[in-house]
Amino acid sequence: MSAVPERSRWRGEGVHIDEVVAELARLHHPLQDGGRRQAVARTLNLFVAPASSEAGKTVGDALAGLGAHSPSRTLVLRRHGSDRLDAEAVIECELPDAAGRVGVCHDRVTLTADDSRLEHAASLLAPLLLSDLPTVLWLPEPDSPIPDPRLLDRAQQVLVDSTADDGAALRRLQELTKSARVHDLAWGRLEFWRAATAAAFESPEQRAMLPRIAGLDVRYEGEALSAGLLLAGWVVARAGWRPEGIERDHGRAHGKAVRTDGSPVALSLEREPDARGCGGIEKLTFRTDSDEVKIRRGAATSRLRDLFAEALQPTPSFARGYPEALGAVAAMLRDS
Amino acid sequence: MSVGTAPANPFTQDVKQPLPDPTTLVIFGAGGDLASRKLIPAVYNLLLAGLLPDPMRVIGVARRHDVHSFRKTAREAIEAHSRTGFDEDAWKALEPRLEIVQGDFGNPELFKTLGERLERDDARLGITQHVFYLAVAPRFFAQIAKALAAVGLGSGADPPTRLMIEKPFGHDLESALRLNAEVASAFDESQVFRLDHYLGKETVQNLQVLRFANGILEPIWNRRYVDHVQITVAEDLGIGHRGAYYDSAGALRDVIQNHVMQLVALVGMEAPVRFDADTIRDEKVKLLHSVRRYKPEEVPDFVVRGQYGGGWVGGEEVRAYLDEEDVADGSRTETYVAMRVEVDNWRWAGTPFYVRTGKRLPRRMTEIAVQFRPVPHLPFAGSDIGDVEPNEMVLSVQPDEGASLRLVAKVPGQTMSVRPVQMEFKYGTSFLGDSPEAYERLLHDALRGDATLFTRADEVEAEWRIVQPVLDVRQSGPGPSVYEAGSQGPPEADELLAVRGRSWRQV
Repeated sequence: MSAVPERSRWRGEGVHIDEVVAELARLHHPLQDGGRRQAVARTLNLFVAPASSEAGKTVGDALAGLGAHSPSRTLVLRRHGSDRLDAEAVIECELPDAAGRVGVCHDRVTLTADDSRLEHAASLLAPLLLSDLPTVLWLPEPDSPIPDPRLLDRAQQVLVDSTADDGAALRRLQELTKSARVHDLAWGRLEFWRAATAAAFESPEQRAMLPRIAGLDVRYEGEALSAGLLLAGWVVARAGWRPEGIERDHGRAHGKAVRTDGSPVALSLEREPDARGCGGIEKLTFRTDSDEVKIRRGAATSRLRDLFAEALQPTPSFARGYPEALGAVAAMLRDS
Repeated sequence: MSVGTAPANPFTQDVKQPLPDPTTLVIFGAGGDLASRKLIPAVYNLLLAGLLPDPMRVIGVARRHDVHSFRKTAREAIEAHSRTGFDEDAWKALEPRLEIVQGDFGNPELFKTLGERLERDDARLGITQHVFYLAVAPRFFAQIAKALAAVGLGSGADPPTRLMIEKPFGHDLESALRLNAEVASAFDESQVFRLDHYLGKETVQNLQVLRFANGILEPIWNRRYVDHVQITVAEDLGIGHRGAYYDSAGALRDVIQNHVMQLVALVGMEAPVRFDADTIRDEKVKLLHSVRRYKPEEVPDFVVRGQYGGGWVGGEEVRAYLDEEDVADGSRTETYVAMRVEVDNWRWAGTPFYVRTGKRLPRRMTEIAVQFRPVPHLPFAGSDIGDVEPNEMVLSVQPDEGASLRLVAKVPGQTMSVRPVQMEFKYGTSFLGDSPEAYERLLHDALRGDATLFTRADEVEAEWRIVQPVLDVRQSGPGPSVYEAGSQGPPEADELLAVRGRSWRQV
């Protein structure tokens, strides 16, 4: 499919939501002509919660990068200080690049409102929802409050990315998992590490080391301490160790877990300055007094589009183990 | 703690797709086209996706390559053919895993050297399985399989081994039986992975999900509601530089015996009790055994063979088959086959499967169309709406993978006019992830030992039993009808369907 998009756009200030619905229908009208080689893709409703300008840019980049693979209707909420509702509706169509092909169109509505309206965001978005499609709420900043808690009732799942967090969001996400189905892209990116860890302990010789593990070292890239914490939390939870406190200091974290026989396991998370990790992780090492098991990433990567696609499924392949990992992380952070 | 009482692995429970065991993949024919276009890029993309074990290495077996030229060729192959592009970082991880063993497949020393190399490295690297991919001409299959077994790498090998071979599996029933027997003398059937890349395509896999996970389809998926099924594997290309192979094979062997019969089996089979390799393959074999084998005198009534003449395809003038490179003068090889397949069982008796394949047709297209019976009575008396096209479900395998259902709807307005409308989904729009290449999926399955998407020996033999009577008549009967390149195929093919208003879908 061609990368060259064709856009139809409408913009209004101080509008009522009914006008937005009507303008969106008007923009769609030409696409209903049977002779056109373009069709609107309808796979889900995606709400995007308001975010700071920095996170908002990340959201914009991610949505633009998804192109024809983006969800059928994206509803982006933004905050401003004026007592009015501004709206922009865009339908973006890929141009078919060969005879017999159909260009895929998707639409995006951006609603900008003040806090008093955003507190009722669920009612604002309801007229724009496509029926019978799953609805996903994307929280670009997982540690920011949700403007209208009723958005959680509207959504079947919540999409977050805790990779760049320093751990604060993980505690909040642990609370959120009690009432909502949370799909964390950071957890998805760690799928390789879970599979590689399972493979590393597949042989009886390696498994025999498990009760003697005395240390766990995680090397992470850039700002991905949160990814390191999640991975360490998962290992702690699945190995049956009791999480204890963890101290964070300038990108490092050191803590302790306790094995079932009461012996300590030292946890160490350190930044690897030049790493190009997979899911933010470069290396994982299990140590006993005499041995170690090193797990490296090889060339494994997690591409955003594939991960996004998986995260939008009702039950992503990577979902298992997340609540347990979050639980262990929350316990470590609570005790620190 | 001793190894004998090692605890269970607590980390497997959160892993949906475990990594394969540490593997050495040995590619025979590593310097060939298949290795360059498909296998090496597939290995690269699996590595990038984090789906390969550690350790994992690839040993190419080739006559002319040394390790430097093999790595150089591999890099160029990835740059040219990887669906995800080329990443220097990933290449650096893959490059040292590529090795070469030089030699001739006919020389027993090659296999001795290979065996010693594998044995030496297994302990050093912790490799626990060997997978042999025969990306070589079919005449080498049995020879290589037996030579591997002779050095202890066949059945009962330790560490375990697998053998991957790609169609054609024989060139007729007799040679297929012989090949299976020869392979069976060297490898256990559970070790043999016969690859038909069609089975790695998403839509083909989806066929089973569509049929067996949607309650509304099963009650109507039978002779009572289905009028007929059309399976089309059309290509706009000619035979290219494959003249020597193609002229001895033809469309029956190249496509009908394998790809098309697999599609017939998947459309027609009963629901498997479980989604595992042998249960599914048992059901496919049952269906293939239900396909009627024609007597020689019946063949002309049920099979049409064609050969392309000159014409225009895609705005280019193209030459006739007989003028192609390496095609024998006056060749009677068919480049087109249309066949009426009768499935004699309770579900399908009397509902024909019309299958066709051809080269130099107007476009490349593979699809399965299930045409349902028309409504028994139209209640719109006096409304002058004419004939209503029956419902049809079309599963498009390529180029655009997806499915559509044709319904009839009223055209808005004062009059009762109707027209067909399509409900459709396309993989690219309904599922946001990229589909892996068929070879990635199949290679990964083979590394994991999952044979679900591979063809079992008895399946291959059942397929040949269906096609063999046609091959027999081909030798003695009339030659193929010539059709114009870029046309829909020989006109005689239309007559196969010319009952009850049936006609081929347009290519």
